Amino acid sequence: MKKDKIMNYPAAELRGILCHPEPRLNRGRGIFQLGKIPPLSRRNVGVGRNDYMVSPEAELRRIIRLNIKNKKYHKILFADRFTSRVLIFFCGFVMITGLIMLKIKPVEAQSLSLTISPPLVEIMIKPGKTVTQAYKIRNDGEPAIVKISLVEYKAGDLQASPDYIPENWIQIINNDLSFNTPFLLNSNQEKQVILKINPPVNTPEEEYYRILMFSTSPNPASQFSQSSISQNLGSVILVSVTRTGEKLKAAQLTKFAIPALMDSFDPLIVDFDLQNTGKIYIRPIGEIKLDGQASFKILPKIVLPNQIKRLVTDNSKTDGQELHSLYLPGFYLGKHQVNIAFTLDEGKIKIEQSKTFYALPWKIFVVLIILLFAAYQYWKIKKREHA
Amino acid sequence: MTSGNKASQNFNLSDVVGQTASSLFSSKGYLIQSGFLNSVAGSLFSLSIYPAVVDFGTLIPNSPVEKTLQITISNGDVPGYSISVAEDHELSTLAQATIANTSCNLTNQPCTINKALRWDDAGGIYGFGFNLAGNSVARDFTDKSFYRPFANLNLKESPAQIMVSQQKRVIDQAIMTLKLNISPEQAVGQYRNTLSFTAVAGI
Repeated sequence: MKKDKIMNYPAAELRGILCHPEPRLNRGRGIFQLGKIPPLSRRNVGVGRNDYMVSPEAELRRIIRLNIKNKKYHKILFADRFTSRVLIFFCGFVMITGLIMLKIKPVEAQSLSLTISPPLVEIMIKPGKTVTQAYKIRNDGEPAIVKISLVEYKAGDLQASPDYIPENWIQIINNDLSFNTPFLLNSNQEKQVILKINPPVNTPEEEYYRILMFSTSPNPASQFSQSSISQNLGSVILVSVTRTGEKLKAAQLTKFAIPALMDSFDPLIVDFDLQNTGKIYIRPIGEIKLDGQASFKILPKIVLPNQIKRLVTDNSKTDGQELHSLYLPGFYLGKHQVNIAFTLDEGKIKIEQSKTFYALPWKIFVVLIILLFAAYQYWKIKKREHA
Repeated sequence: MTSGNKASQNFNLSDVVGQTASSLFSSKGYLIQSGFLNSVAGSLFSLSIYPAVVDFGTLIPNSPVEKTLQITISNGDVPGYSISVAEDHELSTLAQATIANTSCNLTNQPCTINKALRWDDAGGIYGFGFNLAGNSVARDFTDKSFYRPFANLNLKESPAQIMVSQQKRVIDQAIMTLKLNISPEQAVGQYRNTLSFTAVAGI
């Protein structure tokens, strides 16, 4: 370890080294472990963890000087080119063999990975009745501290509302678990959580949309600047408290967008927006038909009260910023009709609409007309020159 | 009571055998199911993030640090999912020194928690932000130089949606690049915060 090289160490890196409890210097092909810092020098450095009475550069240089003078540092790794290659090959061989033999997935080592089931539960319940639902949570990552909480679900907003007070009739009935109490979930461990829902007799007949949220705690801080990661995995609970099971269902198509005239070579793009104007969530169950022949099933996604949602099918596609209900590449010519028909859930309320559009290869026509016009002009000029 | 979907070359059939939903509700006083025709009852919904901690190492002024996170989501039979992200506060030390979130290249028209804009290394623009790459990530991440600041829960900002899908049975991956650039005036210290990723099944 040459004194002059150490003295040229970048100032910002010196700060980082100084903060480390066992300072190491990486110079050339060698890594040097510095000797223990004398207690006095630590006190000289400053009063706080991040504050310095002398500059960190000056302090580290002083420590290095002491190390060199007292020969306290020692080399912890030094390798010439041949030895380093042999070492790299040997280490790589051992790691790959180990991974294959033990079937270890490297991603599991330092990852957060939670799995829950089921991800969605829908409950319609009379006040005074009780229902239980079992959830499973599994940890496929490193051991994690997990907390379960109940969060209000608002479409498009996943932030826990500070004003929300969880309903006391939604409870966890496991002996060893409760809301907001952290517990350890080891790697590959699976746990069952039983949720009991029993709205009292006087519970208002309303919709209660909640998320059962499983949250991990971030890892403890290290010696460096860092961002710790925590994950929240939610299962949606849609509870409808009703005495009769009959709630007002109503909806309307707020958008049925289709081009009146399209180019034959363009993909057919159709958009449908459905607004739930009723008091309970609904699912559109039905299909979209093209010319009464090709049919595309509408995915029965939930539309919450007052929500406007783009209807989707297996042929939906995001183009740029927008998701389209139907995106059908092909060649279209002449008059076509698109028809949509669906019911709200399995009920009798049916919504049906149809629209007509025309397809022509007008882009080619335009090009042809321009070419013909250009040719005619050229022919006219030539004719004039000839005359 | 059973239910299910059957299909042949020309027909799709969804059937329910046994009591209807309304008669079941009348007799038992409740009705419980997972998804349309109980289709997601056994579905697994999972989120993986690697690594669990992002160390930025020693911070050097005017030398941007970039670190990556791998996000993987699997949604089973649930139609779609959404993932949002937020930070608990700006990167800060115990002595309350902070590194501000990035505003990207244009200070008069800054990038926001919902709108990524270009953030180049040159030009001495400091801060902390993220870029995303993947099939289902928000479309404003046009290329690798587009960044957003994190939504700050300390400022009562709502988590910002970063990945979304409407499809069933997908396993989507995204790479999040965290970028940190500090000024020469930045106070020395260990800057820390927590990034929270929230995934909820599509409904």
